[in-house]
Amino acid sequence: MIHLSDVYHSYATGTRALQGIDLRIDDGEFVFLVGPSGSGKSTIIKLLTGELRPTAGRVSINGYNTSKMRASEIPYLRRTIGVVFQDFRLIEKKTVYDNVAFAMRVVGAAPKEIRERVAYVLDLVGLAHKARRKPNELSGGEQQRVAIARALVNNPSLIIADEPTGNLDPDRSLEIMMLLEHINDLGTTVLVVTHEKELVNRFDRRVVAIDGGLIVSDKTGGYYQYEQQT
Amino acid sequence: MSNRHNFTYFMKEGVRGIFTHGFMSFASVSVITTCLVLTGTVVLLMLTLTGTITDLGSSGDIRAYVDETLSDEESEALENTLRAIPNVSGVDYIDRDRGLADLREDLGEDSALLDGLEYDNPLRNCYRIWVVSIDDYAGTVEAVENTGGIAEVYASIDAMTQLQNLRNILGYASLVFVIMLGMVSIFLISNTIKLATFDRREEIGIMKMIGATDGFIRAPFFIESLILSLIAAALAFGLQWLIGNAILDSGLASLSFMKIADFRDYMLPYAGAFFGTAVLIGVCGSLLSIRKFLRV
Repeated sequence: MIHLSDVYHSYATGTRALQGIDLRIDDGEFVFLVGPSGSGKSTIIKLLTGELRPTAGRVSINGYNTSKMRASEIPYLRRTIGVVFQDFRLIEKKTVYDNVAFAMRVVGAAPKEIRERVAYVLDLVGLAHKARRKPNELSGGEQQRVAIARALVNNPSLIIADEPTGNLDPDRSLEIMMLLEHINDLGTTVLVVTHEKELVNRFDRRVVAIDGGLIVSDKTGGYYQYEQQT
Repeated sequence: MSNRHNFTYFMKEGVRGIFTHGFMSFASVSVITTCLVLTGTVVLLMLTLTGTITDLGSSGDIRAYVDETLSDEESEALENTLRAIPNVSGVDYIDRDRGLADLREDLGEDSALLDGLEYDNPLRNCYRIWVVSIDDYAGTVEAVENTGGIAEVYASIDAMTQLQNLRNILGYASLVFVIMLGMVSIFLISNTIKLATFDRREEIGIMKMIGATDGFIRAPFFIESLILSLIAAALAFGLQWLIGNAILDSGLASLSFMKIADFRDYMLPYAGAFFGTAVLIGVCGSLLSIRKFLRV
């Protein structure tokens, strides 16, 4: 569960990125976080992953209070979250299998467990047949599937996808979004950060809109609806 | 269980990293080896120079003339007293007859000038005294002068003081040189390691994002650096051995006044210094270099 309570964040440059955010996302939800560039979306992601701490307020995620947590606790928080990035962030020198298995090695999983689980998630994202390929041998959509498999492999309770379709064509974007929806159906909470209105509007999901560091809309029914209101 | 799996993983990754980052591994080993050999060779040369100076100093003897009121037996008996003086390495008693014979030998063809003196030998019984170290040459001379029965002492205190100063200057110069070389080495090595870790910053960033602890990220770097440092130290030791032998076989060794420092006499300290320095610089440099990439 994610709970942001009256959260403010200012950067060292003086930029006020967040100005009193209240947001609650329950287990099992699928939520789009939308907003224009500079609205504060990325700051929220960084607060959730422990990369930043709030200037004021409380950020609680999967039982961790990131406002007060020690630096040594951050890796353990991150193990409860699977993060998917726009630029995939795969290790070019490793194969698809190793990129995914790597996330399990980090948590000290046994080799047998790694073999079984990696095979399962690669099958889930439809890439079992490309396990021995290197990332540069795959299309953008396939690379993003590998990144999703890596995010899923440790069975996190939450997947955060930061502009996961930003580098993909519309068909591949839809496929990725449907894959995330499928993962949500299996019980994982999914938070997708995006500014792709058309894509958001194809799913009847909760949409939280943020602008100028404030939540300006929070309802089920699409990003486009928020723009009509303003 | 996880520790065992992690250890196997760290070892594999550490060894794999050496080959994956082939050029940077080669650069790290080359820089560490070169710096160690350069420093080691300078130290070996300085040991040779200071050893030679110390040797020259020790060969400079002190002449102590015995009081003429003492009988020959009493004069001879002084030997034990003189040997007991600290820093004295050797004592040779030269009675007046032997002194005259030595003088004849020194004069060679002109020895006839001494004819007749054997009946009225004007020379005095004396002692030649050698010192262990020139460091306390003046103190040793003073102790000999204060020995009862010694009437007069001749010693090259000024020359010995100059030799001592020269040796001290060389010692300090070598120390400064080694420190400077050490600083240059640390700069070169840390830059090489920084380049190697910079090459892997994205990988480190990804590891951080998927929940790797700092220790987990550092461990393969530690093992990789440790292996590279040990290889560099072993190479440097082998090269230093060859250089040490080459100096011994060179023309320098044929100069009788030169006391060439034999590398074989210093193998243990060299091995300790090379392995210790390489591991310290290599491993600490590597771990410090990745620190800033861990702040994600």
